[in-house]
Amino acid sequence: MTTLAPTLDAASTMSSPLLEVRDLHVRFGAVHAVRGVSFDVRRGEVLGIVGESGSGKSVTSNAIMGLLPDRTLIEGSITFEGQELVGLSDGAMSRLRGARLSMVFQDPMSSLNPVLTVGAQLIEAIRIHRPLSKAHARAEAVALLEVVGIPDAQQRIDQYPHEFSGGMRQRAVIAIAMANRPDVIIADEPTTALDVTVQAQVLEALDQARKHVNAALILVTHDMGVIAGHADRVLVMYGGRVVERGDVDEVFERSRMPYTRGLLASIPRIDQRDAPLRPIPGAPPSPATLTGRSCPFAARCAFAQDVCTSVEPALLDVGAEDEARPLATHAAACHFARHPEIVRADLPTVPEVPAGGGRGSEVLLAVVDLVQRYEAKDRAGRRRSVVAVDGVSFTIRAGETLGLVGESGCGKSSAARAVTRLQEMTGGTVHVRGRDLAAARGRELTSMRRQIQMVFQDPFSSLDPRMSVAAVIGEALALAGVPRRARAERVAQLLRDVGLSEEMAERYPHEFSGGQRQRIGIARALATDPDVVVLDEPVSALDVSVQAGVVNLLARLQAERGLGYLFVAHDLAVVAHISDRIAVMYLGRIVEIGGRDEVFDDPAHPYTKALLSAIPIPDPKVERSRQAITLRGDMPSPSDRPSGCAFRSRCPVFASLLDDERRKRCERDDPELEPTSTSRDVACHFPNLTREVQHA
Amino acid sequence: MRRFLRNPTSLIALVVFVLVLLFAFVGPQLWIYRYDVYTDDISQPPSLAHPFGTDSTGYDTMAQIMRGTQRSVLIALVVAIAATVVGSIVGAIAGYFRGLADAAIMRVIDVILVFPSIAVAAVLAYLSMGTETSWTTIAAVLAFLAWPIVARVVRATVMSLATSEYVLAARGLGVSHLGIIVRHLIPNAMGTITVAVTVLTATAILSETALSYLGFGVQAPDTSLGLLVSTSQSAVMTRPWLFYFPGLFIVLIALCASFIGDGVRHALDPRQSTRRSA
Repeated sequence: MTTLAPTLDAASTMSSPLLEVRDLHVRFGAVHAVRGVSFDVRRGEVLGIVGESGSGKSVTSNAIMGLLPDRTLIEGSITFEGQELVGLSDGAMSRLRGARLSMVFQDPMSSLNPVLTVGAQLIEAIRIHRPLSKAHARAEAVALLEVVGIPDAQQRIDQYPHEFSGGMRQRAVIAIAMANRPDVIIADEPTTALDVTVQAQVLEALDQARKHVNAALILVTHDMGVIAGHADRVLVMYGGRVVERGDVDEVFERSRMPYTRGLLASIPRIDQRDAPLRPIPGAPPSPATLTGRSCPFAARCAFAQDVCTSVEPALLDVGAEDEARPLATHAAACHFARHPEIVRADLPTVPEVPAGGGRGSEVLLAVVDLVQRYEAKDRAGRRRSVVAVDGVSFTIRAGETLGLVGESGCGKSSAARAVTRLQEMTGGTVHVRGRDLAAARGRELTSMRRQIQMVFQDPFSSLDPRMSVAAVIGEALALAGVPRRARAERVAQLLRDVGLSEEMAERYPHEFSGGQRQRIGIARALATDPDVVVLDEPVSALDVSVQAGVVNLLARLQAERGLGYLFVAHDLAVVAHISDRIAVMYLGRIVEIGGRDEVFDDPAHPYTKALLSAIPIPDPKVERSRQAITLRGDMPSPSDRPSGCAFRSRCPVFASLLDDERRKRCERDDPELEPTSTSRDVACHFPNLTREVQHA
Repeated sequence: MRRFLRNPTSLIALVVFVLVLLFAFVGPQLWIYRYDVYTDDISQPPSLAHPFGTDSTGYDTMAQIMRGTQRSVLIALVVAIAATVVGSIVGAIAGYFRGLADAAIMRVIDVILVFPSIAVAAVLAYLSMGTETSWTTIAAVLAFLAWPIVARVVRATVMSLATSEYVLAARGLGVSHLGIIVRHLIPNAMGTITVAVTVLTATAILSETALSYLGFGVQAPDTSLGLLVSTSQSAVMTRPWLFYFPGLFIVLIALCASFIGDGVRHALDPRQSTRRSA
């Protein structure tokens, strides 16, 4: 029905696009957030939109749904089956929203109404657009919940959102999105708030939902691994524009845009643990600063030339690299997109971090039987204690990094806070260089605190907004006993050490980007000249292209100073890059601890194996040939610990490889951490069976 | 300070406020009539001789407003500052330490908050009958009744600030509790605190009126803006100058306090400093 000339895309001959976006511009006042975005979406395909913060990817998807605030200026055209959506009244848009176009939001906590049952919300979604009886709608709601994989849908439909786990809530949101057999589903960072094992389940559910209703899916994400595994085509957005577009394989393997290449080279990969990470210098531009008179990536680009800073490149067809490939499926916004010899030249190398530089044999941190218990009230108002950390032991030597990994709620952050005594531990001992931290009081405690420092997750809340950088670091220096006269010089030195310039000392935190703030947080931690640094998710709040720089910085500082790191993270790929040893936590305990390669190459605990298999790898060929081990359900609450082995409720070995006799053992006996080799301990009754777990 | 002066509304408010203060404290030295001396002119509308008119007993309204402004501004500022200082410290302690300290402080606050101020004033008026109450006593009573309000707001703000990672980071460095409260929590709660000062300044003027009306507080021939307004309520239609001039000063002072408060809040917050010059 469209009058637009068909593109040269081979697929277009099969069906006309459902959704056509042409030269879309979105302005919020003076801020030009989306600057000329065009793309098509066809029935049945998955279009990935990938980008960092400020790239305009979420604004684009909200513009399609008509969810931008009224004062927003939207120009260009968005047509859905030939109907123009730009300028459509909210009432007319509401008839499409939920029925023909639907959306899955990032945060399943806030996208469901907490005072209505899941079923009521699902039935409401159905009945808004279709005149069904309540009973009829309910039957359909149950069927929808089954499609997205909610067990006992018949019963669970009457539960409230708080009775659902995060993953189940997101499935319920997906069920609502597909309730009226929409033609297009837009999922905006649908798994960002979820754990990696749950992410795998939810993406699977999303895929099921899409196939079930034969819709097109627009998958908006910052995660190249998710794109590699799930998208057919991909749009890479940067600075409010599409900078590269093409089939997933084509873009990942033969990228013609230095940004895409840089991004791929900067992402840690679990299957290439020793490959150096190549950070992209700088930070993504804020939409407010873009002029449209230069390539938005020029300032960070290794191949930038004069033309890049004076003319903004258009999205150009790359042209055929070999005759067999159809034209026009691959386009890039780079002046040199048609000069593969330039844009596909080698990226500049990064200085190699001397391996194990300050490695020593001295034990810096020894944690024995750490217990952290909280008093909490349950729903009935009864007091009960929740054991967040349940007897954790490990040591860290000079120059060594122990990666502490696990899903949210496993107790890793509680352990990190107890180890630094930011929270009083309930039991166990922590020794820093042989001195007992748990027993230290008064002045001794203050002096010991200098030896063990922490870097926090959120670079936006970890720096006092009212203090200049000099004051933030100066406070730490003052406590370390550095005389006032010497502080300015030390601040300058520390700023240089973390890759910032000393002129930044007088600025305030809000003037810095996330990555720079995290560097300031690192400088503060180093100000007291500590022995051990506890890094609590130090890069997870940063943009992907910035993470690598911070990881490399941490590795360099460790090599220079012989620091011991406790690196707490949920992202195993990052952990894999920096750690010497890995400890995997589940429900407050370490279930596997050992040398990095041993744990990653041959996991002995089924949980470790499942965790590793769930991490998306940013390589379409590899990612599609892998089969994730999908764990059932979510981690139980620590107050509701299963008897015997706590993992058995989700364990693939327990579920399919054991006979009743051996299952009894898992139900009855709590497995202890026992060595399987000289360098690895595992808490599993049947570690030898882990290898036999089928990827299914 | 420089940041404060760059904000035009606050700067104007500050200038107006200084003018009001000059009028109130220096004015009486220059003005020919005293607030407590009767003139021969009774119930005169504003004229050159009496710019703000006179009342039915022959007092010069301008002289009375000068005196009243003195009293009101002093009381308002003392109440606002005392209540804010006490309230901020107590609120910060409750919000930061939580637990037992918090529970104890909050119960005390609850008790004070349930005192109906009118009843308190009535009792005090009865007790002080015949004796002269100085304006400091009034200020003390008002401050005593007002600090819990500040403490509650500051406590709530501090509670959420205390969980921020920069507070944890400071604890991890070994900063003392006092250091955390003084260097991190109070400065970051400054927005809330300045709002409290501003609101209190305005309400203190009005509360003082209520107390005076009940016989506790400023008594004739001494006067305050609140007293002037309340005694001339009945004259709104017949001799409007008696009502509107003191009312104007109350509004002026309250507005100045509000704009100055805004300016201080902006000036103290480094995030607000980047004012774009077009």
